Amino acid sequence: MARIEKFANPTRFLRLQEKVQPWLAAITALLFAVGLYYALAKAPADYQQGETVRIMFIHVPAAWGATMVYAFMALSSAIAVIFRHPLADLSAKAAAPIGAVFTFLALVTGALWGKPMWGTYWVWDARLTSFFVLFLLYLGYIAVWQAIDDYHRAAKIAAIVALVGAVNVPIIKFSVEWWNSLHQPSIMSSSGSSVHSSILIPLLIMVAAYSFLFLTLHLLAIRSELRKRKIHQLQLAQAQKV
Amino acid sequence: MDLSAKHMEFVLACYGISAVLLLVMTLTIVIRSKQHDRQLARLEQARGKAKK
Repeated sequence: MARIEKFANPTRFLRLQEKVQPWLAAITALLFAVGLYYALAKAPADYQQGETVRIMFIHVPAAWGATMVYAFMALSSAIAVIFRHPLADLSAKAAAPIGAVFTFLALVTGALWGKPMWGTYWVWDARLTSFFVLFLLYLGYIAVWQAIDDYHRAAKIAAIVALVGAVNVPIIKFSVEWWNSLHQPSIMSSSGSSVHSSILIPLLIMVAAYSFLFLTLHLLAIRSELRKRKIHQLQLAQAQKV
Repeated sequence: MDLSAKHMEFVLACYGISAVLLLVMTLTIVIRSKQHDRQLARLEQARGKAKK
């Protein structure tokens, strides 16, 4: 907790963010370049799916990003509610649009993969439906921040939405085991992976690329939110003088 | 990658949509951050002048 408290100071956070931002951006670009090269040029076509297997290299990282960002948002909200950390609300708020884009991408690429493989873009099965619910949760969370002017009230209600919605994360993860689903089960488990290294390595690189993209954009978005809050305070002070 | 393979249009659509959306999201966040930086600098400059 002491380490989290250390970055409760926005000035200290901004100083650190300025230092690490270029490095994070460079690592993200490198991971995307290497990952896409392996995904498009090196990985072999699947003996059953053919070239469509390459959709996996952007579908799985987007889906991983979508659930990871929501879990992170729920954790930030919990820290905001329990410890009243001044950056935790902002952290969750800044993460939401990125998570929403990842979820949208996972849904769209999943639908486009489903058509040639299953013969349909969409079925209301457990995995797809729980993922669609995740997208609605993101939209709801963003809508709360947009609809309520009072910062503290918006933060409180948004945190409740994030925490209640967190129940959907394990449902997404285990939906393919709990219910019959068209969606394939997880390729990674505690006992290892069922996928050959020629597919697994590019996949893991792309997952890392999406994770670093989130980290890079998230820090920038928190910076932007901090600036916005300061601008609001200065404008209020000016208005009170007049 | 065999561009003439069956169902290749779905693969290209996925990569195209992902590239466009991720690029738009990145640019939006970067531009918004820069706008806030500029706006804050202007306000702080104006406050500094008012204090003098």
